[in-house]
Amino acid sequence: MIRVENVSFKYKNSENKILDNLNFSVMDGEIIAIVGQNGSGKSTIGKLIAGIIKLKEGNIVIDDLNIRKNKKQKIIQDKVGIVFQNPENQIIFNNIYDEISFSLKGLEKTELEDRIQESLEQVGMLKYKNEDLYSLSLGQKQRIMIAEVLAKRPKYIIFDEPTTMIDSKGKEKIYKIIEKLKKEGYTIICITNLADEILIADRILILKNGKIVEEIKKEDLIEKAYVFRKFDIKEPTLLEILNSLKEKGIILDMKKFTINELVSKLKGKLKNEECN
Amino acid sequence: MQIIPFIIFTFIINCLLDNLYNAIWISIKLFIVCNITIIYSETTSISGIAETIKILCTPLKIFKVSPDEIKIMICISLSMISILKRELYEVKEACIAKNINFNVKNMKIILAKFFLSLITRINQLEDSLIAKGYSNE
Repeated sequence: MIRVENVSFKYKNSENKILDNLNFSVMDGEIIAIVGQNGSGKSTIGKLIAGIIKLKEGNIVIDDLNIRKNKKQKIIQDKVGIVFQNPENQIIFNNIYDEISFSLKGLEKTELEDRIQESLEQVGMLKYKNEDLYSLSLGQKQRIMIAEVLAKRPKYIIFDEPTTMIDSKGKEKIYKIIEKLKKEGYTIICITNLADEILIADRILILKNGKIVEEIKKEDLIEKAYVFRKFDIKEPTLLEILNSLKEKGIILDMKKFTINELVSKLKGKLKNEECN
Repeated sequence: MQIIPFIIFTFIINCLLDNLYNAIWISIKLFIVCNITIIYSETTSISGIAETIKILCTPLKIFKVSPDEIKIMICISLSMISILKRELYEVKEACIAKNINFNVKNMKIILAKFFLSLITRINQLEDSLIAKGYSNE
């Protein structure tokens, strides 16, 4: 579990606090989405939890380990992995094997090879094992970056706008990876400003001016869809469709919030009406 | 072919500052070294070049200089070349779109934009290195 308690943060040359007395928690095995406009402090939270930026005010507790009191960054980095927006700014080595093994210092060769193989399989990139990183597309590079994080076997993974620079086909592949990781028991924090990425989360936290202004559970998405408009965040298209249907008197009980689910629910509804 | 103007320039400078014999000798050496470097860089991967330099720098351990860190620096620098070339090309296109000529006169604007994106990239790379467990402590 991750607990963020009374966290405030201000960058050195900034007058205002980017995060202001933030409080939230992330349960084991859930996906939470942190959404907000540009400059709301989303990436800053991710970097604080991953131990990249030093926390000065408040506490972040990861599995009873207080980041502020812990002087060994390696312990945090073994528990928390982070994938950033631009895969090209994360690459150090041209060779995929060197790149992934960079984060795995101290392991024996056989274990290293096993972990690299396993992580590349998890992201569907095993056949590219011997390719140069720079010859891959942006989506493929981002999947390698995810593999690099997975090879460390962290318990928590933070995705900081992972699909912003990637085409729609690449986005789909990354969403599938995130869903697969959830089923495997990883706890995921997805930082995003893309409406459709919200739908994969169990809970959505809306951030504004460094504070959490609203928390929405997945089952309440349809009822609380107006909240996104209230905070100038684009509603997911699927939610817009569901709300339009609700206004016409067609209420659908969605669980996964996918297009396939919508189609099957609508089919079911039409069949019921035909029978009646 | 691209190195020939540079070799001619070196030849002329050495002719003026020294003598013809030395100018020819230096130009020949420069030509050989440049060609060997080009062949080596075309036939060796970035990782291979970095690994070679790391092995050559192993004696520097006596002075507490880490060859692994040198390898990382070389890898990042060489990888950045293609990225920065593309970045410079994008800056050029942006300038053209804004009716700013890509010439020496407007170099201040062009370099400012270029270095700003370079510094952003470096900051992001630093975050990534920390996240991967790299520490210079």
